[in-house]
Amino acid sequence: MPDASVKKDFSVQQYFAQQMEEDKSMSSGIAAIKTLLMVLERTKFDTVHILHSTIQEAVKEMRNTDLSQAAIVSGTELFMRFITLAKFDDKPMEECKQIMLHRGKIFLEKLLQSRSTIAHQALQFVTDGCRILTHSRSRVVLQALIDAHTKSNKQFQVFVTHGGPDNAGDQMVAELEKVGIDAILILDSAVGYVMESVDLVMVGAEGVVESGGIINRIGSFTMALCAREMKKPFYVLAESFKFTRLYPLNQRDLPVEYKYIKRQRDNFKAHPMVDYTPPAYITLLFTDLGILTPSAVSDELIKLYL
Amino acid sequence: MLNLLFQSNTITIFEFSPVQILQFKRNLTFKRQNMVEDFDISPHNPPLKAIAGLIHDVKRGKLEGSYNITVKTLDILKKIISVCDWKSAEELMKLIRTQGKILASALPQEVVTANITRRIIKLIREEYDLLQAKVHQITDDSQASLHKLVTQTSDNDISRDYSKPQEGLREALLDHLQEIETEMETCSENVSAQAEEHIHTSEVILTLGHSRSVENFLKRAVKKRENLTIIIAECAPACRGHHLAANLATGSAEIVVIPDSTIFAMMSRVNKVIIGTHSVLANGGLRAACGAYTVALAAKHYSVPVIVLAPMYKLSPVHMCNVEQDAFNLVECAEGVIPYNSLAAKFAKVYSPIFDYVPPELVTLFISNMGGHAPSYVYRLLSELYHPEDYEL
Amino acid sequence: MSTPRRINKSTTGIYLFWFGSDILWERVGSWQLSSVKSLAKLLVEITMSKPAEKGSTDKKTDLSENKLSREEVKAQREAKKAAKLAKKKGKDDTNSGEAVPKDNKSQSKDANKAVGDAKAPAPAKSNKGPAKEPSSPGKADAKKPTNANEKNKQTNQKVDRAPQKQPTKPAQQKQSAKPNNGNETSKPEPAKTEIIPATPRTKQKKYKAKLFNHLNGDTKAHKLFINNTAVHPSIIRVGEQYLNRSVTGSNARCIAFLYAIRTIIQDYVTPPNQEFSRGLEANIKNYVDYLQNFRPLAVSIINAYKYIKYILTQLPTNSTDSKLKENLCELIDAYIRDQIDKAAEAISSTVQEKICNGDVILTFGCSSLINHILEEAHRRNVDFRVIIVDCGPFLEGQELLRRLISKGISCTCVLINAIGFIMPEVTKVLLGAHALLANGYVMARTGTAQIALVARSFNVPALVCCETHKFSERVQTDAIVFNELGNPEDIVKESNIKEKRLANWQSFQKLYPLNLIYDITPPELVSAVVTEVAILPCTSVPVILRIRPTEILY
Repeated sequence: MPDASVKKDFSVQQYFAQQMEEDKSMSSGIAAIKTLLMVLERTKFDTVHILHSTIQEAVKEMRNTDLSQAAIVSGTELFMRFITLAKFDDKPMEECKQIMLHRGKIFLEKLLQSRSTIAHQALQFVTDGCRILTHSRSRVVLQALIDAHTKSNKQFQVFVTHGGPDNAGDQMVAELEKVGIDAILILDSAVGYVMESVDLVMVGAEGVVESGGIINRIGSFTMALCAREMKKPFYVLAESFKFTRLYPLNQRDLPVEYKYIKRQRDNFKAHPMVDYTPPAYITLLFTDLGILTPSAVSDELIKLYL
Repeated sequence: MLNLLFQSNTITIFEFSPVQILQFKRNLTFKRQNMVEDFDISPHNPPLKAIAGLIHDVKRGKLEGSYNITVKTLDILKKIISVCDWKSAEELMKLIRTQGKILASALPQEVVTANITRRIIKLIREEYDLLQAKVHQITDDSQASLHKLVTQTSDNDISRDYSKPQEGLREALLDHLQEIETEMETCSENVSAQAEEHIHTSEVILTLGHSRSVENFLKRAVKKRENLTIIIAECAPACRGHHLAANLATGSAEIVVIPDSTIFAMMSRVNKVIIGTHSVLANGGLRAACGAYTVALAAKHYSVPVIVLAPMYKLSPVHMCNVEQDAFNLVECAEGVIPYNSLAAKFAKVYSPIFDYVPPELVTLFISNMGGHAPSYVYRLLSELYHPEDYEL
Repeated sequence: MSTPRRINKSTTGIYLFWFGSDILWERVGSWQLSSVKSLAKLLVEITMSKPAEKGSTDKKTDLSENKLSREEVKAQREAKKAAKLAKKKGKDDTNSGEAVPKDNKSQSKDANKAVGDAKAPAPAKSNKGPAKEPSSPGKADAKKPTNANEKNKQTNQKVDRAPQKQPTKPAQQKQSAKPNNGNETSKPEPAKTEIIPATPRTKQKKYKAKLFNHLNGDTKAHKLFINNTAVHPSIIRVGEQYLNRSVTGSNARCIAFLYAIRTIIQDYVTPPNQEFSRGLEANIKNYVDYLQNFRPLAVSIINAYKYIKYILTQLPTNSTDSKLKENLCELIDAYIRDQIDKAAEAISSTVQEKICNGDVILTFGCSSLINHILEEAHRRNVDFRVIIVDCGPFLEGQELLRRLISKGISCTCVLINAIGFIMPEVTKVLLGAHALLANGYVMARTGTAQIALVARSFNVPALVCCETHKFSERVQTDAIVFNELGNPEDIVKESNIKEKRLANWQSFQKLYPLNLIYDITPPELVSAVVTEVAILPCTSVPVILRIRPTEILY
């Protein structure tokens, strides 16, 4: 029974919030991982058990925020796995810690590069003169489109939905226009109307689940349904740390903490923030591990966890 | 010339004096250098003559059919490995990669050349790692994966260092290449051996055009199963379906030849559709003969399973981004559609495309020489055949 | 018949039936001596045997005595087969293309349903063979429908015919016995070779696409003769035109038919004891039945025929013949004018609203209606271009291409297997139809269904343009239960491939080229049907059928 109370000289939530503030373009998952790395660094632990419990607490605190849960959960799970895999039974704790820190740094660096890898892969699918439909604001998609425009000089048109209730789509349009891409804001309900004139749909994801489906801002499922009906390809751009071991069967099966922000969780009339898109509607996933079909996602997760 | 070379390699030496032996060796190496002009790897003349010869043959139509091209390419690459002067794995890979690139850019539709190049490069990596692993205990896991991501120990771990010279690499490679060659030779038999598992008695099978794999597959089925009816769509304008029909007509199955327009009408009575393909794309889709899309759609409409015979060398890690993608489709001579000397030909545009894209959701099963696979599993087969870094040669 | 031809003994026998004595001797001179003996033998037999109605048993008795010639043995075998068939008679209504015999009770209704039943009859020249039409008008055979029966249809028919004497229509002829015949019937080889026993041919026929035995009609056209005195020449001419495909397309065939009927009406002379309309009706019925032999009647023709029957019943009884004839001709002209010409105008104007600037319109084969629509659009200076999809074996698209190019419309042409390639550029698909069935399915030239399928997969709307006179009350769910089979030789010959591996496909026992003429498009693949009455969804076809008088529609 080790003493579970370890003196903490840092505040997880503060650090986390600080990270998010500093770099607006950073995903909450990466911020979570950064926070956990910080925790790892600053915790003094003699056994892995203590380390685990400290990290668990930190994770709990982070989940208490209002940010999107899916990325945080998947990021922290991945970190936990990282810890587990980095544990060496035959080495003293100090050495383990150093190895972990070292690996952690590399891990983080790789993750930070993931967006540009994805943008590079998506480049070949964006052609001159094509019309792209995207949903709300996704930083990965933003980077992919900006890269396509600036690096390969392609001309294309982007339709962006409002992505209510916080109208993040407006911000996306502003950012696209700043770079010189022709962007048009449309209502969420106009997706069916617009779908027959676009060439492809590109969305980001907050989480990629084990079935190969995605969890994304509410409205993505509708868009995927429309795209399938109109025979348009539906591409998802997601970094690999967003893969999570969840397996929702339908919309109701999504965990409550994903769907509603904290203060709304007791209110049954609250509006969910995310929805689940089954893998049958997704054509391809662009990740930093390569261009995957939805069935390959499960393969990756199995390789990691089993 | 090269035959001579190999023959001379097997000369036995009877009681020569050391000086003579030395001279002999010198002569051998001299001859070897001469013979190797075909495989001269100086940077001043890529492509190698043998490669250029291959390109030339394919373009002139002397060498056709994916199988033949693959075998020939394999042959040339094998000779490169055995004959050319290279010191490290890295050098060899670079050499093969350049030649592969040349082949791919000269023959963009013949993806089998690029495929076999990638395969060989992966082979080189594997053999090198194996040999290295005997020396240093390094786990061999070069695929990018979440697992890898999480367990990396050093910065440039993914790109292994291949530049150390390694003993025994050439021999190991040649050995393994022999295995690949055997695999190629038995490819067609392995595919057709699965015919009995998929075709039962009294079936009605539909096929399109003329594919060698399909012909062997069906011949075997006809031998083993009774009362088959095979409907062959002729696939205008080349009407290669007629060839298949004539070849199969000697068996015991009933053969019906139909024009391409009757495919939908007949589909309601068909039990299975069996087609060959030119290549399989990374998402499980096909680049098949023109008309395959209609067949697959009609099969989907009537819920008829579509079985595609695709030996492993046809699996290619390219994605089809969109229909106007460069070099996805070719148009050939349009004489078959409208004769050149007709009045209409002056004013009308005429197209005669060669390939068709079939999306993976229309395909039920792939049968390769390794067994049957679902289209959703193609990504896994690709990761076993090729290294992700070689996807773009 | 300058070159003496070797004639199969069996065919010789059949020829005999048709010959009046004068023609017989003319022909005999050109045949080889060896066959003349058998000819003479058979002639003797026939004149001595009794006429039979359903000849099976008769045939047996006729020939059972004489077992000497090979032919008789063969005929006996066939008689036995026919006996079997006689028992199973009247099973299937959709049957071989022979027109229903008048004397055959069970098949009287089938006359109207004989559309598309038979295989397309052999090419034209067969008509010129020597045979004399027996006295009774029309009815070709007492042959039973060979339905779902794997036996050789032809031999069956031959059996049925054999005992029948002159009164009946010329029986099936094995073939090409016509001396001056560049015959291309589907069973040509016996003609070329020497005396072949019937069995190999029978065997070969057995593997002729079992699925389609119910559709196999035999080509009786080769046994029809131009100078058949019992049939009006205009009918023969129309039949010829159908047969050698100089008149194709449902509208064109319908118009040709109506013109022929009009001529018949004008030439008709009422026999003394008959009423004008009754006699004319009977007469026309015979001619129509005769016409079936050339090519199964199109739905448009059958509807026109029903209309004619209807107006014949509505004629006033107290007018003079000439007035009635005038009346009738006017009504026929009005039918052509309203149902075909005006309907085309109405449909065209409706579709014009759907053709906008920048459109890329895809069409298939050669439909006169679509041609009309596109020319009209061009006249209105709409900026569009046309993609014509063509397919073997008839390559009808080239005709449309020729017409559109002569008007200056920019066209692209592809074969049907390239529709996956070309469809991303297309904004609309316009298709013609042969008929619209009551359950909403569209019966059109084979290949139409594929076009609609691929169009649906690319989300391109497909419009079917069809006048209401082509609406049919029949229902059908797939293309095989009821269709017309074309000449299998067309598939092998028309392809301009370098090595014709199937040039002698007959020698392969189990190989058969299949040439379906029509296919059925399900209504979910069609966005709309444009008729002169309205633009309808495909499922509303029964509504139109309901509001039209039912006597008129088939």
